[in-house]
Amino acid sequence: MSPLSGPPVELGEKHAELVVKFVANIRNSKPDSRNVALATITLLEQIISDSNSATAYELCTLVRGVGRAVGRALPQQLVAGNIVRRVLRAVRDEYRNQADQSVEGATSSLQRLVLGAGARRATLPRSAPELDNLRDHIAELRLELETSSSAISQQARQHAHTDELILTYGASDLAERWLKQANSRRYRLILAESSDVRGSAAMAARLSAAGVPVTLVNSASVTGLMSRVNKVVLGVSAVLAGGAARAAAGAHAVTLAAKHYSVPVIALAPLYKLSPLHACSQTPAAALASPHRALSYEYAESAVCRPYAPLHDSIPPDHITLFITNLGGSSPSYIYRLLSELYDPNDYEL
Amino acid sequence: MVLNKTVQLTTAKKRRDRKKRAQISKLQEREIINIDSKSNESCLEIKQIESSNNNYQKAKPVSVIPGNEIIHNILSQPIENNIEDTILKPAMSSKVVTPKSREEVIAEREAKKLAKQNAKTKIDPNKTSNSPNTKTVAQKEDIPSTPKPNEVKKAADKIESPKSKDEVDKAVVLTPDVTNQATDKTKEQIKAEREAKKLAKQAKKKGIAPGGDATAVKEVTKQSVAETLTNIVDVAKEVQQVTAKVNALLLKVQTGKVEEPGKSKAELKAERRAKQEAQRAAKQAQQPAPTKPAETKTAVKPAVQANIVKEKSPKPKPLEKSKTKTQINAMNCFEHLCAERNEESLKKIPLNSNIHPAIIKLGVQLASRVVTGSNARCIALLDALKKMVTDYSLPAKTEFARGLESHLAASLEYLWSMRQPSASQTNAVKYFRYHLTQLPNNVDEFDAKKTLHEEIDRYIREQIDMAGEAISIAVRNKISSGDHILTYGCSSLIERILVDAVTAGVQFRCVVVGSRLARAAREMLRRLLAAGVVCTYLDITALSDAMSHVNKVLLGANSLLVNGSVLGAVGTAQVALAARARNVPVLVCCETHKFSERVQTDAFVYNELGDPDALIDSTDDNSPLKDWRSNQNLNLLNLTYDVTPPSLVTAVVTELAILPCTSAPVVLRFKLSEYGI
Repeated sequence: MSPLSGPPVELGEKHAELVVKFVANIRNSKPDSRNVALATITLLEQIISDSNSATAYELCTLVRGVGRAVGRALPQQLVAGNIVRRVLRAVRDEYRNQADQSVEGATSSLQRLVLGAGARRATLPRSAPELDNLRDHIAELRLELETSSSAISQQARQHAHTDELILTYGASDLAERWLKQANSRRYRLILAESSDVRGSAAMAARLSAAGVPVTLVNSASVTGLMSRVNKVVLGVSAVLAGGAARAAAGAHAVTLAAKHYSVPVIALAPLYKLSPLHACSQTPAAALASPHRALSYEYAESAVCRPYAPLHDSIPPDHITLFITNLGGSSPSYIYRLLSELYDPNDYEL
Repeated sequence: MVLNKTVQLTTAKKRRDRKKRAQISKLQEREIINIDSKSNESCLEIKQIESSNNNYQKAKPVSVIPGNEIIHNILSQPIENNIEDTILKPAMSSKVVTPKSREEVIAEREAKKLAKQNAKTKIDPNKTSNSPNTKTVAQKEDIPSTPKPNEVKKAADKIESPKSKDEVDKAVVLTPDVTNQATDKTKEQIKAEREAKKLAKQAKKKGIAPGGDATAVKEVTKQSVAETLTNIVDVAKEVQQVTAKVNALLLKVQTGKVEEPGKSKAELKAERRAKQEAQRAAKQAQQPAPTKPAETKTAVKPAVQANIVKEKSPKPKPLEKSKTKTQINAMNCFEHLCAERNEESLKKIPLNSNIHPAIIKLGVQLASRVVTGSNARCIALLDALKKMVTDYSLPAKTEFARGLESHLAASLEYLWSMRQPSASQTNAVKYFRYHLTQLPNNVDEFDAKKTLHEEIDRYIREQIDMAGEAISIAVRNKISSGDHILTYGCSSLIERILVDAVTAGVQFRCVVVGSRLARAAREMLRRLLAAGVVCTYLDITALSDAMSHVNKVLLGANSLLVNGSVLGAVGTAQVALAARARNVPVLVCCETHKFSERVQTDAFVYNELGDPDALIDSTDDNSPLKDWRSNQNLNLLNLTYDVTPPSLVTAVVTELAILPCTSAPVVLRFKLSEYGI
């Protein structure tokens, strides 16, 4: 069963309106994933505080309904779904604690892990909720979002050494912060421009202003240069279940070259980008950008041929050496564990 | 929606119209300048340059002294305002310079008169219309005496850039039809051009040095005290730059005394460095930076003292310092390429009248990347050699082969200094030399020329044309209906193969991959579409995603090295790698005349640096990269070639057979015996 095809949950008119507004906001602006996450939290907070007297089951159904609606409207924004899952987890934990203090919530034993959780409804009590605790959970989540990039960039000094040659691809706020933080190691940086030329140029300018020696190159020369590079640092847009990642188009070629020359690849991924989707479920990932990115409209040929410009590349897990999350580094093979800690396995499919 | 679209369309139209108009007006401008440059300005300019040079030497010491005063003032006067004063000084010094410019004006007038007389005597409709233009040029050159920095800059630019370009164009246009006279003329023109550039440089420097500081003064009065603390460092820098400038001027004077053509490389380098320094200083001065008060003094002092120490040994010290700075920050592994590129511009000097115009034309075309692509470069070279052979007149008492050989060596030195030879070119030259030495000693001049012509024609026919046909046939058998064939960049051979396959009735789709910097791929796309090939276009960033739909990858090569590596346009290795990751067969198409004796395992040991400014987004008017040259931490790198290891290439298609990469040495040995390549 695909994640989006379950028994339909009808949202109330009020909630539906909120969701539509949220979707419209995100579609109209050009948000980065952190803002999407924050907006999703705000939306869910509003909806939860509206439904004051709902039972845990009702609340979960409602939140899941919102998650489905958002996922259907914004298939590219995996972050929104992740946040919904986090909130669901919070609801479950909260009510579980309330119903039975003896049940160990997050700290589950190995036996429990192996035997797995029960059915969806089994763990959810029907008692009246305590919204304050839930609000605390959500506030915590918000705090985590806001501090995640600084938590990641603070680890930069552990990963860069003096006078090394680091390569990064395209513009990414997180990577930029990380690289600035690592500057005390006096490394040199090669910045390969992605299809977002302006963003890359701006990032190069900002980094060089911050004192990092930057060399800007075209993405075509990455393979040629890779043999000299010590480390590749990438900001990814999502981490998928098996340890694969999704990043800007062209990142796959970079990691492929890195793999060819056995250069370690460090992927920067805050926890809210961890998504329980698998890399093989490619259908929502294959989104295309506007064709003028490949071939500007000013060339007559663009009318006759078929320009093709995908938005994302999927990076297989064996190309990535290390994911750096706000909790520290972890190898791609460990991502599944982080996922099971972050989300309730019942919520992998919304 | 429809309404919206129409609105967009109309706006787009308007925009296009506007662009067209702008282009037309630009063209007109250029034309005017063209006509202007077609006049006998070479003599005019030389006159001007001479006069201005004299003035320059006279005037320079005067302008240098205030520069020294700056430092003394800063050291001696402890008051707050002293920096303002010192900054005012250079502005004064511009007034000191004015008498020189008057002399210049007189010299120019004389030159103008001369030009008019010349025009009258020749009675050429083009040239009679010149006089107003030359006037405007002269007026422009007057400007440096006025203290407005921007105008000066503009004028200097105008003088420098379009003319020099036109001169080169003209050289290209003229050279094919006229022979010896033309060479003399072009030589003169080039000399004139070089000197005009120098003049422009000088004018710029003169204009900028005082002007930039004048603006600084204004800034000083405006700035509030609150900002001063943050700007202390800037002031220190400024002072440093002023002293650097002074140093540069000193240097300039020293070098100026030496006879112009006899300048050593080091001096030329120093000059260039000085110019850069001046430009950088001007830029810094234009930015809202400098301020003063009491605290600045302490910060400034050490820097100033350091500069004074430098000044005592005025020659290359500041230059060396800045150089090491850039070396630290740039990609060190490309230093050797940078050096080659710098020398390249120097080497443009060994141009003499012995070199055939066709060769000069080819040199310019190679350097400006008008002729690109391995085959095109080879054919163009052979064509030029043919013309050279035709027009070669044998001096008395020399053997034909020996005489032509020395002539050839000079021409090739010039050509290779314009752009490094490709493997196809070196092979063609080897072939040509071989046949030159095979000529009998007592051969008649006419017969020798005839045989050489025939050999060149044979080479083009057999090695390039027929080889291409053979490869085309071989590859056509590998393309089946419904295939998706991916190619990268532009290759005349691949184009031929695909077009032949389409005309043979094979139905396939061609996926053309290009990168943003290379126009070549778009050119390839245009040609393929014109020939009726169904095409998809993608940027190299989309490569991995598209590779899953591709059946075969066809790549052109610049040359195939003996160790089996393929030297191709930058990005070729990436394509081959992506194909290998998807297990898509990679066929490299390469005629055997592109096989090279060289061995190379990475893209660093031999490469060419393209124009780094191409990386700046041309559609973005205020790109943050615009002033990258003044930013020590920022560096743009545009490589031309990369090396694909043999492990990523399935097979090489040559006219002999479809071979593995590693058979390259065998092919080379075979060729050696057959052609003397």
